Amino acid sequence: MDVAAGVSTALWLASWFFVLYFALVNGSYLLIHLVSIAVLAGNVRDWLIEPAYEPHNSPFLPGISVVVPAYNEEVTIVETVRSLRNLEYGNYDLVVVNDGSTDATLDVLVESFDLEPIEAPVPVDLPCEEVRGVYQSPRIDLVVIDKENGGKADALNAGVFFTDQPLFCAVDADTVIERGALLEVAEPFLRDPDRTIATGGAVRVANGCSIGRGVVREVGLSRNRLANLQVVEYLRAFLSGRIGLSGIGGLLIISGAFGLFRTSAVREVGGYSTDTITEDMELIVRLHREFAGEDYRIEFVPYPVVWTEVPASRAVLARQRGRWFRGMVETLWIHRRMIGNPNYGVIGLVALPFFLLVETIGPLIEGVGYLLVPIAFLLGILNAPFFLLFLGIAVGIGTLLSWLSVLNEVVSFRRYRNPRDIARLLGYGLVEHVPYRQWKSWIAWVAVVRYLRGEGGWGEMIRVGFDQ
Amino acid sequence: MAERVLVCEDDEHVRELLAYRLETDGYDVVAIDDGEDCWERLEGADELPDGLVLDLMLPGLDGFGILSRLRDHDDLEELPVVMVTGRGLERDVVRGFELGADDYVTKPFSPSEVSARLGRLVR
Amino acid sequence: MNALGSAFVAIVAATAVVGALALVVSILLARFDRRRERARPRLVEELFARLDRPDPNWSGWVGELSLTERFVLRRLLARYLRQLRGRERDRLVDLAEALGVGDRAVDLLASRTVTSRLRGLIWLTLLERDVPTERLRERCTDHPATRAGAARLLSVAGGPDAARDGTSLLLWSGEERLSVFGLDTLYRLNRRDATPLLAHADAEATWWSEGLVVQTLTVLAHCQATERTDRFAWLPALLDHDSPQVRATALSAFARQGWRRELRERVDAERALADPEPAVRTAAYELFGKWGDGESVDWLRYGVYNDPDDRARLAAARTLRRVGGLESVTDGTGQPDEAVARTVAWAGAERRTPRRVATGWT
Repeated sequence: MDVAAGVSTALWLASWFFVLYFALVNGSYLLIHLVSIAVLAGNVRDWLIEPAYEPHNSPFLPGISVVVPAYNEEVTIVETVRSLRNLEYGNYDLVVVNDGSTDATLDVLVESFDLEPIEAPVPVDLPCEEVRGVYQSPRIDLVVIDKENGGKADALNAGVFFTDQPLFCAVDADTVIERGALLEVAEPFLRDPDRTIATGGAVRVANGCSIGRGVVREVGLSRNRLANLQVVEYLRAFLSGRIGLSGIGGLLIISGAFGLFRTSAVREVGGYSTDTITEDMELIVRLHREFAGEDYRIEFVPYPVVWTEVPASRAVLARQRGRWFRGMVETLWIHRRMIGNPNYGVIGLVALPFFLLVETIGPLIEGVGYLLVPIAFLLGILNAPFFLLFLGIAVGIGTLLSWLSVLNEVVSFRRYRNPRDIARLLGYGLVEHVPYRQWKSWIAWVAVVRYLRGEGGWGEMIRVGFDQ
Repeated sequence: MAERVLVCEDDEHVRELLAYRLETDGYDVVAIDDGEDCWERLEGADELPDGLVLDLMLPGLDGFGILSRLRDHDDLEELPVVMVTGRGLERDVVRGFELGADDYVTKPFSPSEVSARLGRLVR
Repeated sequence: MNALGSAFVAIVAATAVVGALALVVSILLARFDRRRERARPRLVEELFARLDRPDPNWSGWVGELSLTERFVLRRLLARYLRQLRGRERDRLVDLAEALGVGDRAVDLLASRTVTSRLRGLIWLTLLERDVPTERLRERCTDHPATRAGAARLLSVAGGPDAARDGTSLLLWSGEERLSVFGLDTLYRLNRRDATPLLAHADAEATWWSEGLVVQTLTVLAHCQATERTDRFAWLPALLDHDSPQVRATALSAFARQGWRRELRERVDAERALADPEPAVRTAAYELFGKWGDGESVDWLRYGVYNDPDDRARLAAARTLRRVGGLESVTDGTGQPDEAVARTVAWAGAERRTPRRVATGWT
């Protein structure tokens, strides 16, 4: 009897703990979302204001190197480079880094763009794996660095330390950048040239969009449900999470798929770290760490967009998410001393604790909560109003957050213009709760266990060309 | 017979106005918005246009790319080209002429002037 | 326990409202989009037809248009006025005035919010409307963005004192650094005659923030200046400034003005090349590249041989290649060490030298 009572009390207490944790998680998200609404309301008109001049005609437009790390991208790389050649920006060049691909990535590049080898070793130190050769086009601003395999961060470093441009833009080889996006993501640099050190744009889901010749022609949802679930996730992450965090000066992630950096700042902190699998997040945290106390800006700009193909199968998505989760844990571990440290201002006191408690521990606790609280309810340990509260906080506020992001999309950026798509997005915001969220918790748990055991192992994403 | 002109410009507004101006000045105008499309039309054309009005920053294939392909092509080498572009810095203008543009007009531009410059080349 | 239940109800209600709002707004906006898309072709056709008429009768036409059509027309004008000049543009400016855009923009200047005033300034700039400088000073000096916007307006529509007044607005605080738009405006105001910029710098540069000094020098590096050389009296001291950025951009400014012997003589080449900062030496190599005389080529060659920094040495070698003196390094006397040889080999093998980028950025 006593044991049963003990178990039931424990379950009751645990349920309260989970409900409170859900409240903390979703409450923080809600708060960030409210900030994002305030930022949007205050800035959307500013963002739409185009100063009365032609920036491409100005000698003061900063030069940008677009750095594209490529590993076994023979299917997409030519199309990617073609589309990158057509960005609307007056002063940029392309640096493709072939990271020891085992397929024909280098050959197709050399062939398609009439590249010629530079018959001399690079005369500056590139802190990366050995460079096998550099190829250059005599006609267009395109350089290909061919190097031994060293991973994405290593490939990015080759480009970062090779370029002469004051800014560089890191993009993924499999994304499509909207043509005006480079100028838009550079906007904070143009507005505040001295202080800005990094900016990032929004990443959106390309699955379901029609893409031709490297340009997104029509925006729509996919027939694949898993992809559409991710559309809602990306809206939440980019249109509220990052706007909100950026608004309070606490931006910790600029997506590796699309970020613009001051070259000298990144070199100063030593470039990308090859010790972590989410080098994009780690770099931003390190920039915050090294620049703490100085007057600097790291900003998220929501209107420039890159489109990326997201995993359409559970197995691939699981690997991707496991990797992201593990990367976040690694980054937090590396910079654990910054967490809660007032020397780092908003970053130390708000952004990092938020990432630790909400983004990292949140999904883990959530997963157990989803399991335990319903069981406790079915066993009769929890009464109906309590269970309703749980549902309200977990499912209700969760849905509210998704729907607010959709609302942000509708009133500001409007890539999805068809009301039918909006209705479907709202629907996906609802069905996400079962079983997608639970499944993601499971992925997080697996990633943590693997991390603690010191296991590596995450697969490559298999890609098909965009035009296929 | 009216001279045939191909206008390749991705800004819808500018394209429409340029086409209108050239038409009222007596040209037979085809206006398109994509560089790759532009090249395909020229390369495979049975009947070549008499002139080309070309933007620089285009989707598909940029204006400099089209220009250098034209000048490497036996049948298209002589095609008169007027560049109309927002990029007016010295280095871009020089590059345009180096690649074989016959004229280079910087935005903000006057459509009537473009028409007159084109006339000098094709009439 | 009732509180728990009502919390649940509140959450559900809020969620439902947000969802409904998203849906309704998206439907309304889609409808508005469709109306605009339908209106556009007709409007454009009519607009072009009227452009060529001796009397387009804009106000008559505008009077017939619906609200949606006027909206579409304003958007069209905003695009056209940025891209056009000449006859077509003049006509479109008349149309904009008939639409009341200009008067509304003047009214916007009276607004308290910065964004509204900026929008007003942008329209006025597109229309090239002459607004009294007094009025601009009164309304636009409180924020760097509006000061830059007002200076831009002066640069396109101002009277004979536009360059002076616009430059004053941009350099107003002596503290705030300019945006690229502000830099570009400062450049447009001073590019043919940098007197206003030089006058300000001469009188005030000593108390300006370092960032602003760097920016001013950057702009000056692009301007023609034919003024008396004593206007440049403040410049040589900056070559010894504590900040390497200031030293580097001061060299760039000298590079542009170096066609005048008196100014050229103020640059101590040896000292610039002995500077501990690679960025300063790189600026010096650019300066020698621009001057391009025999002595400058010698200094470049000296840099290729002796610069301890890989990137700065590479800059020297590339510049030397451009002015046509790279071969002389390898067939000269003495055996260059390995780093020098590598740099020279690379600079000689490159198929395209990267374009140099605006200074003041690195």
